[in-house]
Amino acid sequence: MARVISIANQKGGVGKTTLTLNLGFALAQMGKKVLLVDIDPQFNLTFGLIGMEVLNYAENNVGTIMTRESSVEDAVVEVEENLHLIPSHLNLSAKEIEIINAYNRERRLEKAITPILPDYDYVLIDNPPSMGIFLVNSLTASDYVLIPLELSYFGVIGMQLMFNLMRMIRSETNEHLSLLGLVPNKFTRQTKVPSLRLKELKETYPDAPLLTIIPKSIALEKAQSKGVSIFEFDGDGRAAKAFTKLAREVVSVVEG
Amino acid sequence: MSKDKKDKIPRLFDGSVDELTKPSKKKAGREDLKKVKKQKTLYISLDVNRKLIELYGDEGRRQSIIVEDSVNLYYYLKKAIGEKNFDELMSAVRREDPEFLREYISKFKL
Repeated sequence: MARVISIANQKGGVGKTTLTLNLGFALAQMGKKVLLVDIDPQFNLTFGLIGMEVLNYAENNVGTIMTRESSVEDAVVEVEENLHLIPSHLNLSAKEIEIINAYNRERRLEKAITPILPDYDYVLIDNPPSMGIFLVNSLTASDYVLIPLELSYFGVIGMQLMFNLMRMIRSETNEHLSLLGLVPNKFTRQTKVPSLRLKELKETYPDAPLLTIIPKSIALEKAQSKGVSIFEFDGDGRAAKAFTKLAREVVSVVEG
Repeated sequence: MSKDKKDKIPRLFDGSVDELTKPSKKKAGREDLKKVKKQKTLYISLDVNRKLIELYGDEGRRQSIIVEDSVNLYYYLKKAIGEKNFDELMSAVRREDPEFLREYISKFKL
């Protein structure tokens, strides 16, 4: 049965999509069966993986499975062996109002994906940066939260908002939700700020489970713009190595 | 907002992060509590939201000033020293090295 991991942070631009995509590829390379779910109306993950083909999924996407207009099996796209995707779509924002007014609105995603969980080892959900019904659905359906963290002033604030939101979700809709870890992203020593913020973070939250640090890397940005994983673009680079290490860490925490 | 206050990241979470890493235990008397507590929304508390809006407001104003200054500097400096000199100056700026830039400016001739 798959373990469901939400990649979430209420701050935008911290690397949620990059983390989802590359962690997904890294887990798939380890032989795990991985399902990626793009629940962000900006559909960057979907576009990165299937490009303009996204237009073919107007009637089979994460929104339509939540509104029960389509079945989950029809919405699954095979990206490559061991790596599948439930795409987002341009019309996802429009579904928000429909879902907000629907019965059991916080559990729509959970209900939709439950039938296919036995087919996978890991489900990774790429979330929107805004606090709303999609993020609530994602956290309600998840076993774990992975927080990509930009080591900047607002990056650390966004992380704390996620802590508050997790606490709220645990008391209201999903008491099993656990923090898998924080993934400091875009780390560089070219300026002092990231190291300073990391130190400050460790002092403020000594118990925070810090996972592998992902370095700031031009290769990551280039890979993303070409719609490929870091393993395809620069498999021997330090960013690819960091993601492989992170995937091993995730497996070790989740599978014990 | 004073500089000190602005630089220090405020603590917005008062719970235990260690506890968040473990699934929560069912609370005894949860059913009773349900009867008395008001219906909570799942949206972030107003208090945290207000803090965030204030922080974003301050940051937005700070960034607007920086952008306006940058545009003025770019436009008028380019006009004043000419395109060629300006391009040269910018290539010195892009090195992101204050020492180098200081030396470059000290030797700069219009």
